[in-house]
Amino acid sequence: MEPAGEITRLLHAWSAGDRSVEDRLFRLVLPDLRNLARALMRRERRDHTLQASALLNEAYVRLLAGRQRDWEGRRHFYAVAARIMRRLLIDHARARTKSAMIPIQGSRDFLPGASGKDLETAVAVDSLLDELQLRHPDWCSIVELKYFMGLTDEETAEVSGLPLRTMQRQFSDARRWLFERLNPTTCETQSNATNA
Amino acid sequence: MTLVAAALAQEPGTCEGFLHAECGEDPDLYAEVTERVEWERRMAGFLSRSVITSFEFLDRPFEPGDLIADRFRIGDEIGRGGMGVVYEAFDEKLNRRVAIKSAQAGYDHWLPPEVRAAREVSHFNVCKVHDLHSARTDLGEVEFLTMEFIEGETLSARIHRAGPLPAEQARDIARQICAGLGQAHRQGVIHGDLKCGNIILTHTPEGGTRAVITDFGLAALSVAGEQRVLNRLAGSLDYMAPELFARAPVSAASDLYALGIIIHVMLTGRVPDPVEEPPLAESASTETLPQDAPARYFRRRVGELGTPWKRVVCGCLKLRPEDRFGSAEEVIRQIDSYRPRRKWLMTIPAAAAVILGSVLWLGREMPGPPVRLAILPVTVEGAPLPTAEGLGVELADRLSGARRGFIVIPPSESRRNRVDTPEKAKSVLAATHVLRTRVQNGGGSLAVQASVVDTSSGVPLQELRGTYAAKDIAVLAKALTATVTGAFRLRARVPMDVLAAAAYPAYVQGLNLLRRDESSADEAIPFLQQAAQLDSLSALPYAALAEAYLQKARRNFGSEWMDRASQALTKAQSLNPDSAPVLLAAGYLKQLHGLYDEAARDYARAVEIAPESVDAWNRLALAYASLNRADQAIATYQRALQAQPDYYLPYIDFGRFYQRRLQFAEAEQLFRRVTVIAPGLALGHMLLGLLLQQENRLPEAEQAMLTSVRLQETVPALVDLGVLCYQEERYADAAQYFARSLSVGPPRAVGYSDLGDAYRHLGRFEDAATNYRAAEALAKSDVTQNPSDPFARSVHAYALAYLRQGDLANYEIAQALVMGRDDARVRRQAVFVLEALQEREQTLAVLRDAPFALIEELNRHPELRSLQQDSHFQELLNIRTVKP
Repeated sequence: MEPAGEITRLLHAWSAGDRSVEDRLFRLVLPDLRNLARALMRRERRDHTLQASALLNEAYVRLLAGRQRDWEGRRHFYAVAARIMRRLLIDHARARTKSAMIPIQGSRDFLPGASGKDLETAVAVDSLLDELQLRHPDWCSIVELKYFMGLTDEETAEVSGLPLRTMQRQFSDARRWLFERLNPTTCETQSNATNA
Repeated sequence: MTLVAAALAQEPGTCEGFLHAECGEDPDLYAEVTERVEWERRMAGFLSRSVITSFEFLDRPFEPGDLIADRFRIGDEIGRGGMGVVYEAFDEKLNRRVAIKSAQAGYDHWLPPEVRAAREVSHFNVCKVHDLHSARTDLGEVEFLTMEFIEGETLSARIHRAGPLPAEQARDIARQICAGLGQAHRQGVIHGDLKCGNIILTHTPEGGTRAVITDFGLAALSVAGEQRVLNRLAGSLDYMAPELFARAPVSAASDLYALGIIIHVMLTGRVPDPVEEPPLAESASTETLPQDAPARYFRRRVGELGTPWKRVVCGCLKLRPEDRFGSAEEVIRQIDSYRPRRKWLMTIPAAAAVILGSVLWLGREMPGPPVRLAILPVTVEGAPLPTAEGLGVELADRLSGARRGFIVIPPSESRRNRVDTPEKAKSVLAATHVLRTRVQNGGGSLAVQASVVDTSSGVPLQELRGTYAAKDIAVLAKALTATVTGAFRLRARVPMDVLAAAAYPAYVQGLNLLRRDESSADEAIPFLQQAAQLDSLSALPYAALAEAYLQKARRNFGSEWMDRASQALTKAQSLNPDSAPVLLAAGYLKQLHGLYDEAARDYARAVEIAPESVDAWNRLALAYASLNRADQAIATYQRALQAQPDYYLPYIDFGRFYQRRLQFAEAEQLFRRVTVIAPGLALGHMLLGLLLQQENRLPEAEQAMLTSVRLQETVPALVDLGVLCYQEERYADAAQYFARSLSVGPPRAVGYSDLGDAYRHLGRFEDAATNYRAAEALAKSDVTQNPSDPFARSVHAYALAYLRQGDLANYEIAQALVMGRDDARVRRQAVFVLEALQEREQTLAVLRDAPFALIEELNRHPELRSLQQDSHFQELLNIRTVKP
């Protein structure tokens, strides 16, 4: 099967809930994703305003040979791209931070700081996302788009097909959910309304 | 959510009131927003910023483990500069560690001509740039530089870690930076971004520090676009000369300005403060500073420095470029003019000093500019004067090492390079001065006219005229010495090894003969014996005799000569055990007996006594090399360079040492240095050419060899050039060089068979056969004369093989291999013979335990295409290509 056709098929399978196709998707999309990741990273570093959705769209058009015109398919693609980005980064972070990941005590540790610490946080977050995926699939996707891919609020809302405020609220909830699990001691006295 | 963000932006304490006001009558909204605000405070920005910026690997053109350009195995990232990522890497083709500097993604992936120029700079204190390559990556075509891998920390890191440097260390490092910078400037290469972060400090094996300047010419990279101008200023503003702010181009003078800042930082840990802060200190750039920025912004306070350093730094930091030091060498001179007296003299016990061997300079050094004095061979008119040549040799011995920066080039070097005028001495030997001596021998009476001449101006500094009795040549020697010491205001020396005047003529003549070449001992011995007879109380003739006997012993492997050497040495030692010539002979004897440890001890003592003697350092280094103590050998060769930094001979020895170890980059650097110091020396260009050839850089190799042949047409040079053409399959050129080598030199079997090979490839089979026949006849007579010489037999076999006398060829090569399997030349020759005879099995058997260098060389040889495609051969090649 030609790559474009195969990606389409895999995307459909993935959006229908078949996670077993992720590996294959990962391999097919990775080269383009690396370039995208690089562009996003530089945008973030230099505070450039660069249309991530445009970049994503470019990757989409290239990968799928411009065949797919339906927005639903495109949205699936972005979600898959974010998932793949997460995996790309986490595989790398795991290789870098050799020590076993344990939740870090105290929220101070999660302040933006040394990149080694950032990588540890990313690995810790990643380990919780599978559970989040089961409970709140939308939140998980937003975390992937915002945190791992570096999309802006507006871009995230656009590719998730959600109103901006809704997306922001969900991201805030997702962060809180993750934060509580990563910092059990500071959070144990709090009720877990969001975990229902 | 905007409400939450707005609430978080409120001053502490006012938040509650703000929310009450905003939420009005909606208690649910108030409760939700309050809770969210509370949580946001607690999470303190958790996950609010994307983690993607932490993944620097995304921005890397290469990944550890990648093999790029088919030869460089990428290792760890070792740094990031303004220009790109720096990796450690392994060059699998040349088996060496390199550093790779890439152009960063998005930085256009190109490298400018300045970088190409920087590649030409070869100096111990300049990071050697090897080459430019490009590789395909998923970012597109990426150009990258390979350079010498240097393990160490930057000068700025050192100062950051350990604070200002002690003055002595700062002096050492400053001198080294000056030396490297001076060399680059002489070659017209400007650094442009010199700063503490561009100096790498690494340890020498003996515990010293080597300072290496990196990123020569790379400044051009960081100023190629607007973004980069700003980056550059952010990093190196402190080091920028005033004129650069007025958009003047970078220059040697702006490099010297930066050097002044570096020296200040080394000594105090800080850049010198400006007398008046510029108004735009925070955001200064070439855009914002006025072109005519007042000079006062650039005046710096250097009051913290001690008096000696103040002048050095001030001389660098002058506002106008033309007021600064004229060159890096001038900075060295300024630094050195305050050098404290040398310590090694103090290490010699007072009692020993009285009976010290050799000759010593005592007391403080006289400062002075560097001098390279070439002693030209003495010209004699009238009756022959056999002692004349030895006189020059002995004079050179006496004068060398008179003070730091005073180099004496012995007459043997002048003669070898056909130097007989001040002009030639300048162009070939880079001599600043010559001593020329004319003697008119009128039957026992010598009319002498001598002068020390400045080779730049042709002006004589000092002259000597006088008449001497021929038997009193020792008196002449003293007078000539005084002429030189007078010309350069050198301190008088204290000769400890005294030799009677009567013995002097024979001694100097013997010494001259001994040093002429490797096989001149026979001629030298009678003179030295005579000298010993005439003055049996001096150690000098006996030490020289011991050396002469050892030369014989080494060539003939005869124990008889070894015994005689021992006897002479014992006698010399009984007269003066602690003299440099005696110690060198003693060490040499031990070395030939394989007692390298003890030899090294003797040599070490000799260099203590005569630290300016390149001979002594070189022998010590050789002893260390024999002991497999490569680090110490390297350190010692470096001392030889330091002993006479402008003299090419130690660079050659050191380079050969590296070449034997297959450390081509290092060897190349040293050989290139030879071609800079002595541009007219054919040998230097030839060594460089052969090295480049070994690295398979054939066009460059050919250029170097052509230069060499143009300077001096010798048989080996012509042969090497022919071999190179042959390797490139340019058989007509090869034939021409081989034929030329036979016409300028004596007939040689190998020469004829080379020529035969070239004709064979050209399809001129008649000519080929004629030459093979000539080769066969000569080789046969060589074999008859030396039946146990395996190489002669292998040459014979080769000619026979191409004359279709397979059986004989087979027999001869089998004999050769039995006698000399360990001789790489024989083994190589055997491969060609066996391939010509189509005995593949035997070829492979010969190669099975061959040195890898040979297999690699054969793998490139155009003659052996069929062998190269043999899977068994490829196996041999692959086994060795795998990294240890």
